[in-house]
Amino acid sequence: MKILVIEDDAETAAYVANGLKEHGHTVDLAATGRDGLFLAAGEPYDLLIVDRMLPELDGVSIVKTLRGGEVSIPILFLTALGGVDDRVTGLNAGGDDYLVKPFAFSELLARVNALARRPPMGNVETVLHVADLELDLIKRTVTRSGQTIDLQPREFRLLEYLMRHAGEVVTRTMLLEHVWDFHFDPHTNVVETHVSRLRAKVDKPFEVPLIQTVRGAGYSLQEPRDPR
Amino acid sequence: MRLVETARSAPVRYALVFAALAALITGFLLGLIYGRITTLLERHLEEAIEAQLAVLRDDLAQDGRESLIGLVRKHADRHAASRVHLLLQDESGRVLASDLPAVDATAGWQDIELPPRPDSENGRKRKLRALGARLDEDLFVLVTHDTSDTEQTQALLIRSFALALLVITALALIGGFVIGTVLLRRVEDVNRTARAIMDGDLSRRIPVVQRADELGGIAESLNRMLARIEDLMDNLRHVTSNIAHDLRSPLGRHRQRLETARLKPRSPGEYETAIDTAIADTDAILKTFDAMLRIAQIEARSPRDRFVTVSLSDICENVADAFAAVAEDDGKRLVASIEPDVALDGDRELLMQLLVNLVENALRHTPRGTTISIRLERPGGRPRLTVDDDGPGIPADERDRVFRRFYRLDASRTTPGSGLGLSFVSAVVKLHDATISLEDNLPGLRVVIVFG
Repeated sequence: MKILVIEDDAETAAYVANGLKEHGHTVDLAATGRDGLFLAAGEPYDLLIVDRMLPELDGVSIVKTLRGGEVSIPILFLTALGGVDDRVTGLNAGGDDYLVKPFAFSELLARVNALARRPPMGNVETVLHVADLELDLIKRTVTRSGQTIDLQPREFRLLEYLMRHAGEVVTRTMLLEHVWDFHFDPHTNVVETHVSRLRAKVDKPFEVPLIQTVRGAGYSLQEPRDPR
Repeated sequence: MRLVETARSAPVRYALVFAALAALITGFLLGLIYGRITTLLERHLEEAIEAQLAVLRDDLAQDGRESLIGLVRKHADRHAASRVHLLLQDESGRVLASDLPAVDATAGWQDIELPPRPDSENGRKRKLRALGARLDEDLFVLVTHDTSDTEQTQALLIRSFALALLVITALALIGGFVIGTVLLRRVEDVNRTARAIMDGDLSRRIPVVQRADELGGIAESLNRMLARIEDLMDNLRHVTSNIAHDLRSPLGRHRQRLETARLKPRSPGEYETAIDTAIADTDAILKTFDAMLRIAQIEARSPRDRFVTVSLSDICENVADAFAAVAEDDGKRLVASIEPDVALDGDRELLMQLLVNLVENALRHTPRGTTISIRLERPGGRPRLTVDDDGPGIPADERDRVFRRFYRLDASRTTPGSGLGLSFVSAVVKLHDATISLEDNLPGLRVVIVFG
């Protein structure tokens, strides 16, 4: 993927750029808002990572300008401004996701991957498939190998999110935000508890586990890399 | 300092204003009374004169001219010192009978001045009120009455009224001065207290003299404000030392672990573990900072800024649903009784975190087998959110303090948590103009939040 990082702090920029390059992405850097906007408007990027506070032109203005020009590439805000209002402002301006500094690189990577594979608007899938697991969004049913699995509404949403991002790493924070609407980190293990219950229903009765734990990052729904 | 200077003149100013006002009112009142009494006295005099004239007329009509002349003469002889003097004269102006000199025979009311009596002590001219009347073609009578009685009464009135005016004005002067002095002394009390507080003595309070009046009210309000400020300052001191303590120990631990890892050569796997631990340690510290920042942001926000209508019922359902499983895995029970469609103006995200904090707090500080309950009701139209448990509870004297930043009960020093959970709750409650109270659930703790 070709990613543009607009970030004025050299250390953070290098940290992000090097990490993304290690994972096989092409990264361009812009240190000021004006340069960033110029590059973003001219080059075909797959994803933009934008700092909120930038010299010359701030991140929100860049995003507004791009969205005003009908540029629809996914944009991730990366910022030290972590207040509730700040996030709302960022998302309203046209950002697709919002990550507050300091952040774990695994978190950034998971979100970058999730954004990049976001299906284009208008594409309506009503049945999600991963291996022999099937989730019907309309009938609200889940089956695996033809066997019906009975899920609580919250478990259904959790599974739906995992399936929509099948093959990607989904972090605890992403799950908290999208499944529970918690934009903060609870002290108790809400995610672990529900994932373990979901596992008991989706994986335990079957031979191949689909919900994988990615150490230090989160979860991923996929067939194990090395099937026994 | 300025106040001390004006204290010298301000009571005087009060006194002068009071006195002037009192003098004005009293003067007006007494003047009115004086006028009325004078009029009354004069009318009495004239009535007496008219009565006398009627007697003379009657006498003339019954007994004839000579009898009348005799009567008047007799009166003049016998009553030289009387207040009533009569004059009878004929058409040519000849005095027929009188102790008065001849006058113009004009009918009607007139005032006459006579030279002082030879035996008079003060030598004042005598003033007479006179009524002249023609009894027949050749007989003119003048009935006069000495006005000295009226004048004496008037003089007496003026003297007593002047005295009254003087006394009232003097009293007003003193009263104004005393009130001014007392008022200013109380204002000066406030000022002195303020100075003492500025000098660092935060425990000082304004003496409350009297609760009923406005100044007493101001003193009480100021005292309450001072108590709040002292509380905040206390809180701040507390926070500073607690930040030092609560952040110093994990940082110290963090450093120790890094140092241990560095002591001798290790395998890449061991280094990896050491680094992971270091990252986890740092994350925990960052989390504490985040929590502090969040609270500071909420407190800095202008109330009701960006509030929208949010469904408290939805929030409760969401949290109850998310934590029921967590509680169960922990050997506890989370039950919810949520009235549907309870909405209010607020911040959805903050309210959600508020409830999560309360539930997590209950989960963290209670033993297995505890039942935690979330209740949302709307008694009297005001949303009331209750989170209670049947755990060990909080001692009554500690309940106020748990809202302080980093405050932790001794019993919970060892359990995980930043000590910021309830401070956050309290900040969100304040932002929403709600009230929070901690009560005894007999047994356990009950947290009640009532929204406006």
